[in-house]
Amino acid sequence: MEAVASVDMGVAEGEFLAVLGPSGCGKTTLLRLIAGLEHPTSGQILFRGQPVRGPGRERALMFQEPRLFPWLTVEKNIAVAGDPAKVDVLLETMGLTSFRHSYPHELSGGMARRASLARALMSDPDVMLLDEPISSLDLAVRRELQGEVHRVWQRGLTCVLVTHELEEALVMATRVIVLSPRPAKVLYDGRVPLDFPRNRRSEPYQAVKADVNKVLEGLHG
Amino acid sequence: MNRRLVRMLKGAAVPVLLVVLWYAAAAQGWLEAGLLPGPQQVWRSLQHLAERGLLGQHIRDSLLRVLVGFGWAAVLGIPIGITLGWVRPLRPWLMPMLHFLRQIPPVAWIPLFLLWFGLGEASKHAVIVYAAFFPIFLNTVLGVEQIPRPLWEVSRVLEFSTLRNLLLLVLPGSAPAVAAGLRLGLGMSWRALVAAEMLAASSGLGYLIMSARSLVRTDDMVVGMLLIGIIGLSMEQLFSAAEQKLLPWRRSALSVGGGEDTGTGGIETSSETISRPPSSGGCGQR
Repeated sequence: MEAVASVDMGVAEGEFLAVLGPSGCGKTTLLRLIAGLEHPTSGQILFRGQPVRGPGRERALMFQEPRLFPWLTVEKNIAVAGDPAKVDVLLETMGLTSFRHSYPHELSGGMARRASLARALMSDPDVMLLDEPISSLDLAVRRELQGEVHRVWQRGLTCVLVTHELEEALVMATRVIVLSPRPAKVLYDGRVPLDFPRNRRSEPYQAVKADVNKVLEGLHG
Repeated sequence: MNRRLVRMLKGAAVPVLLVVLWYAAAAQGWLEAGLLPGPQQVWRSLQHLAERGLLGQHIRDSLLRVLVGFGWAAVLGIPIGITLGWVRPLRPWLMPMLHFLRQIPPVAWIPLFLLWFGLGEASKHAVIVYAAFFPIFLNTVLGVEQIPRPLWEVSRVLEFSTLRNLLLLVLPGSAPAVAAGLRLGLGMSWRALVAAEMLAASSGLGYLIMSARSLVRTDDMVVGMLLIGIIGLSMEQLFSAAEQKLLPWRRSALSVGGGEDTGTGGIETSSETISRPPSSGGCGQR
């Protein structure tokens, strides 16, 4: 089954790319290709000039669900992903220190996401791939986690965020692309030339939003 | 705590009622002692056996056999189950044969085992191993199979080695099913043991019943039967308690399609495998 038809694009280092598109358009497949969990039937994925042949420490993936191991405490869930000496700092930055001995089923959705993010950071990745990890949460928690992810990006990572929410993309990303329904093609590719933190009510923000929205509405109509 | 007490009282009600009826029937002289002795007679027989030190000896012998046989079944069943659950290409080669062997009741092997291993302990151990192996093995396979695919993907992304996969994913992920298999296997081995002791043994609770038969001591027979039931039940209860202690995450919902838990309420005899219990069974044992 062809999920992604012709997506020919690059992501620059340090960029925060948001990938928008209707559900089931192959956004996730695109992310999984970059992560090395799937292999392209044609074409290739290059990372720093080298073809991607499988998962790698330099590309961390944060899944849509937290996917923590139910039998490990938060602390151990994070520790399994790399050098255990780094766990304390990550627990601290993610505000998880008091939950370190909790099991995943004892965590709220937001806390579980934080643990999942911390685990993804354990390998000191250059690229963080985010598969709508926060869109299923309620608004307040979502905002919080958006901030968390953004702080991670500002440390010098490259981020690729798959989402179906325009607002989320525009609040976080430096560049937005819109994919068509399956098989996916790039319908829109543009920078978001705005400073952080972004003001949702500002005129330039609204202008970009209107721009992208036009493309998105074309998809639904 | 209170609800637990109520549940225990409910569970005890029917047995207590039966004993009362039994007692009343015996007191009324409705029972023919040669067919079914009254509870008082059974109690006297129990005391008598205990005083002579026979009872303790029988129980010890039976328990020891079960522990050795069950231990071997676990040592064989868990690794083989993990291998077949994990390395799927092996399955079409081996599963049909194992399912075939599973059909043959352990008791049917007793004559051959007696020839192969002699009249000593080894032949009894062999019967128990055979009886306990299949539930342990099959549940382990099932447990490994049921480890959610999304977690395997996490392991790929984190680039787990085979050893880490085993320790961090396969063993803990299959542990609830393995525990269920062990619990079933323990019950199976207890039942098979009694059968083995009835056919060829000079000690043990099964032997107690059979030797009582040749002397037509119905009271000793009933003592043996009651003890078998009580010890079997206690072992199972102990096991369930240990399971809950050792697998704290078990109560949490894993995102695996739930299955029916046939491992509750005593309908286990009909099935050797039970799927992972749903998180809130509302059932007696967990």
